[in-house]
Amino acid sequence: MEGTNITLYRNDIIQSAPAYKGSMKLLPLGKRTRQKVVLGDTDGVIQVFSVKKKETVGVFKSLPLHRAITRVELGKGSGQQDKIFYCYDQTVVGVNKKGKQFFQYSSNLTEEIKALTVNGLTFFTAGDYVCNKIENSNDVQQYVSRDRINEMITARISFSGMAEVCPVLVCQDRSLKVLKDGEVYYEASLDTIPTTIAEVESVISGGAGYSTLELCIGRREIIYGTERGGLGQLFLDSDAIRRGWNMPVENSVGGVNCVCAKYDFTGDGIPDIIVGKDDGTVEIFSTGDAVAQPEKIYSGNVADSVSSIHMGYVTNEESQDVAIHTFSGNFLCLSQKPSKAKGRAQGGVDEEILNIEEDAMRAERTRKEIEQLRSKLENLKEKVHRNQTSAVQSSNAIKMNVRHILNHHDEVSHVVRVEIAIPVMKIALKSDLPLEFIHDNDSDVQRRISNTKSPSERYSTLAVHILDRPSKRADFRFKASEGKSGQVQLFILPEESFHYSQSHTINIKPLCLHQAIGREEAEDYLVRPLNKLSITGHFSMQEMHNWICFCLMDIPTRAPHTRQETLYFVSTFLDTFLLINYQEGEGHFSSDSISTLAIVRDVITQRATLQKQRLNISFHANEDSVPQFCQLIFPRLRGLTSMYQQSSLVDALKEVSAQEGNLDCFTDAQKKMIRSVSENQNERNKGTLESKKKDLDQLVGLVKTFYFDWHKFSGKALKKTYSQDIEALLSRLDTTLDDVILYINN
Amino acid sequence: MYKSAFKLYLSDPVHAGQATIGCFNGSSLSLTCVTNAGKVFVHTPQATNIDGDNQVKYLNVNKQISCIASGTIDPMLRRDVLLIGTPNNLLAYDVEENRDLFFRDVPDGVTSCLVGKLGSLSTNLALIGGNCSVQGFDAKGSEAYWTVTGDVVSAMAFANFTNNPGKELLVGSKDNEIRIFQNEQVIEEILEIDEITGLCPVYSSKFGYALSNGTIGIYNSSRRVWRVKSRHTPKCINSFDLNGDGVPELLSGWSNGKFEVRSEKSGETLFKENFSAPISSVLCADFRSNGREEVICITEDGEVKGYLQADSTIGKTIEDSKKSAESLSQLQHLRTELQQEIKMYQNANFQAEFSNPGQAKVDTKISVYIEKMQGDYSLRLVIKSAKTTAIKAVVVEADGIFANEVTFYPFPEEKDTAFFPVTLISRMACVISMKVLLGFPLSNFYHAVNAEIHLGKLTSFVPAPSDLRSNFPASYVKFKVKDTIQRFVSWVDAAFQTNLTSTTNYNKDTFEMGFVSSINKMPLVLTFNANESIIVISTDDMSLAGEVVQDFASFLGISELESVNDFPKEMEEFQGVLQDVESYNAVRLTISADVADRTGAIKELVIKGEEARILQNMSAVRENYRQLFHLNKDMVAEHEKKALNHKALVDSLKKVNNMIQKASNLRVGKAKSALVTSCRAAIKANNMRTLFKLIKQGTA
Repeated sequence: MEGTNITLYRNDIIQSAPAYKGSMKLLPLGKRTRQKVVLGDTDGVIQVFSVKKKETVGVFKSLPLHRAITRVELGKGSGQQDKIFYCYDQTVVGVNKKGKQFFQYSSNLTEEIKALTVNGLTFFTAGDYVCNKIENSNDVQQYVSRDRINEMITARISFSGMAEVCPVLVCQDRSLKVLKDGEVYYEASLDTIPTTIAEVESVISGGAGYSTLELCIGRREIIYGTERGGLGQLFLDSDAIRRGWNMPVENSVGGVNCVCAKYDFTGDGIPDIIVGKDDGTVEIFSTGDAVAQPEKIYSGNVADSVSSIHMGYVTNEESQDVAIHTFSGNFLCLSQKPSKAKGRAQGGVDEEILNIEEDAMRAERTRKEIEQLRSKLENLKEKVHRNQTSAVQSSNAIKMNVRHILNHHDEVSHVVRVEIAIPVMKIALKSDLPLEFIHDNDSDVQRRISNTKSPSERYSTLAVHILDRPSKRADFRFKASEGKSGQVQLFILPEESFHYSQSHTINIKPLCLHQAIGREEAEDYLVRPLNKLSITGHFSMQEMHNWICFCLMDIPTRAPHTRQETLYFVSTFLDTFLLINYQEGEGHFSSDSISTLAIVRDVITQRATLQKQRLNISFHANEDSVPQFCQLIFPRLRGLTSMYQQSSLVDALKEVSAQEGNLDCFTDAQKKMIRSVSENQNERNKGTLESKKKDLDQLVGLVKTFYFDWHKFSGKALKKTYSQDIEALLSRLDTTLDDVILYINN
Repeated sequence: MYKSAFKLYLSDPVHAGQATIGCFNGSSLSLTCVTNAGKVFVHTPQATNIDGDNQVKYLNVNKQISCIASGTIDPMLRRDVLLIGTPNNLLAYDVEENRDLFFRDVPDGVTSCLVGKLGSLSTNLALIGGNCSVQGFDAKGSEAYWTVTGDVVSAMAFANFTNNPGKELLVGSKDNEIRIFQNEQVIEEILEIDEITGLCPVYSSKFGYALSNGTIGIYNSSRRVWRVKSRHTPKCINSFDLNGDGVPELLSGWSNGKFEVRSEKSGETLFKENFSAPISSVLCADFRSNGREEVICITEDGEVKGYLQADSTIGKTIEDSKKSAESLSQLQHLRTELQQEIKMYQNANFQAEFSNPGQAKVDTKISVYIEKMQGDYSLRLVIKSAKTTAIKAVVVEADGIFANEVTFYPFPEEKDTAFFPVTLISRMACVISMKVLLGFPLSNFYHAVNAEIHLGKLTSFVPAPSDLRSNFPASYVKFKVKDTIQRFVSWVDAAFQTNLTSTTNYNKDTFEMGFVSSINKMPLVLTFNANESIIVISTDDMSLAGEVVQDFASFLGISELESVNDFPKEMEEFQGVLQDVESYNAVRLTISADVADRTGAIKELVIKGEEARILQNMSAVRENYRQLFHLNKDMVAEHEKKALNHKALVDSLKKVNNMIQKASNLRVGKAKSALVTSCRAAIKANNMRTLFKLIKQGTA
């Protein structure tokens, strides 16, 4: 198994309209030896086809509903495994494999149904916040989640010997919940936001990692994928959730869109995990042992956000393919064998030539088709141009997905990932916050960014990204500092001929670099010396909750049902901690960074003033938090300062060493500098000197703000020259941590 | 597809763009690169010298090296000569015999050099580009060619620009211009948007270019075929038929270590590879002497990698079948994409036909025009939408106006008229293309309308009010034409984007029109005297006058034009410059004499000091070395003076060259090229009066 990397061959099959997550399924093997494909898309077309010699043979294709199909499922009950169920808006429809409708159910919910499972006459549906159980077309159970439900599946879980089908939800609030009788039976909190889950189908019994006993007691293995691209394993027992491996995120910033664990590539008896990500990455992991960390055996990119991924006999009957449906509607297969491998391996030259001829004929046919399509397109274009006066304004004109996440891998930055159903050339962007864009050196897509000063001074950032070639995906990375809330508006500009554009707005919260963490992780931080800000007044829990929402990301819009709530946040930039504890009429904020509390206070008082609420604010400063804060920021400051100052000297030293031929003429410190710089060559290449300087200025700015806030909160007099003093203090290389602490405390 | 032929590591770093391959011993090729501290190394893999396996030879130049080149200058020598350019001289060096072929002082500096046969000349010349000038030296080191350009030469190449036999010289300079010389005469000028850093011939009349802002592209004669822009900087370009299809591709090496092969037709990337350090040079030669030319990529940290031309015969069937499979899947992909697009348009039509009442119609007719503001002589671009639709934002693309050629203006006021300032920084023709987003207030969906506006070279001039008399420029250029006043006015309309023909009732005998530049607020007055058919262009800017003359001549198809001019201010300055040159030269000579004196003294002191040391006379040793120390300090100070003086001298010389260029631009055709040669002759003869007369009147 070690290092058994597999090779897959790409086959593009068909293009549908843009498709949502989970709107592709493969029908089980029937009489034929290949599996049929079911595709649903955002136009509301459902189609079933099989693939023959790379061409599709349609079975049926429905008329467009002009409503997006949000999910396609196959029945799980006996005798209904070849029945197709799909949903749009609040409706669930069942059709057989010939396309004949036999079932329809419309719920009285207000939410769109986003996830569905069907087991006989029992349905589970999930929308954004509500999960329902429907039996015989009657709504029998309902669960309302506090935060957005990202995905739902059902698993057969045994409770004291009795197996029952239960919905398993993963929610935006980093939790995995198992429901029983409309209540949470048990839940696990995860370290990052889960976006998808899949059950590992333990069809292969007696695999290396499983004891037969475990199978008997009905333990279920679940794989979840996270927003940041990580994977994790959980076991659902009858009374508890046990954690398996947890795979840390690699360099890729793509979030996991779908997971499939049904097929064994490595042949070790344990199904391997196939992952589709929203940056187009497809990865396969081999789990050698049910509990051991999986190993990556394949990684590829389909250049389009993956919405569904499955295994099955699609293009040939000898081996299973990885079937992929992407957001923009491209359906493709990654086959284990190249399509003509057979000819070359066995048949020899004759068959090969035959193959080539066949291909040539097919190419000719395709070319003709393309010609026809081109002329048709030209006609249409002309028509649209003539109709330029008429509106092309409709909310469903272009499907667009915008994701905004906080990346804290190498550099703390915001990542905005845009997926659009049609190729775009340019993306214009405006913001009332100053943003600093980061260029990806290794990314294949070259882009130009122009950052212009706004003429009216109303916007701090105006930029245009020009893509190298028309693309359906674009990523931006930028840095924004904390303190102010603002908006980023993206304008999507398709190619020349298409007279349409639309925009999307992203809100940046004042504490945009803070990230929610779980209770267990927070334990480490709770021992830190913390300052405390308490706000009391006549406000409800929901009001307080809303104010907190204005400060921080990752918070559900609805207040919890409990009387009291505790939230934990960590700054991804400085690793400072923020603890929030609130209830009706009371809110307590504790942090080791006084600047964070200052921002919280500013935002909450501002919001409360708007609502004409009176607040009492009290503050307890903790003297020990100053050294704590300095300890966090100082090493980074020192590193950057010395690197910045050295890099200007090093080039001169290098020149001298070339002239001399050796390093003998230098002092030890200089020799060390030369060596360390050549070692850190890559580090140096990463950012230019200017970006280093910017980072440095940002850190110095943080120290200044901290000084200002600290003195204001603790009621000490500010030194008038503090700004210059701190700059001078921090630019000296012989300044120690104690000097900084001493200066701030005085 | 592309085979890597070999790979080796040199022990020394290589300066950007400073590498060449030459046949210095008459039999095998050597790779020659400039490395740190003014050294050049010659790497000869096939070397079978006496000192064993030493393939690398070092040459100490001990000066800052600005460029190197190699080639056969002396046909008798039958081997290549290495040319080394420094900021003030050129060395032609015979590597094999370790001797200087010639060593010339080049006061203009050497910023790029090239060996080749120019136009009608019979032998190869060493062509060097410097401050505003191009010089050619023959095998003896005597000047065989001289001409002027607009600024410091940053790239040179030979190409078959006109498709006539004999190659033209392409010269790229820091003023963003590519000039094409046929012998001494400029036959074409191409203005780009940034400094030209690389030029290379591709084939027939096609040539590649690279700019310092990250653009590379291909021109076919004066028409641009394609260009691409990257965030990184191209370090070098070259051309070679790497994929074996009979047509060379454009190769480029980048500051981020990327080596790229692009199709000469479309600019499509055919191959790329990333190196760990910036690419220094991309060269083509039969480096391993096996009869096959290969491409050699050299990075700045000394990595060398060779690529062979793709073989076109072996494994052809496999290639073919692969290709057919590839093309089939490509075709299928294209088909699905087309189907998708058709659907989208159908949808758009569908929606247009059955649009909801809520989605009222958007009248997309917009008008864009340049408004010239007479108050502060600035330009702004106005967009008007015909109906009550709000203009939400505009994305503007234009070469050379905005940073990165693109900008974005949101209009939060959401009115039906919007404008933004157009601040031109140079007189350059460009196209402003816009995508205007129209929509309803508060809506997130927009109608995008394309619009385009052309700016001429002289659009930046704003018509001035009639009372310009107080500010009338003192300098002018005057010439006689055969054309009528109507033709003249139609040229003014076209060049300055005014509308005189239809609006003003101009006098049939004389015509006068004043303009003010929006760039530097300088006035420009055009006068036409119909009785004498004399045109007077009054402006204090000589280069502007030149541009106006050139534009006028090309608009009316005038091929020969003589003119008389008087630019008192510029000439006065020029007089000063010439005096400066003289005094700087004098200072240079005295300093050189001083240096020689001191060098003698130093030698003496060293010997004396050593003698005293051997005799163990310590006090004498101390005394001698004390003096030596002081002398050394003096030398350093002297050197600084010399360097300053030299810099000033170079600047002044550049101004002289620039003046000749400007003066020649006031004429068209033969008069133009004749002026350059006679001015050079006057400078050589040190005849300043003739030079002045030449500049003013065109003839001595």
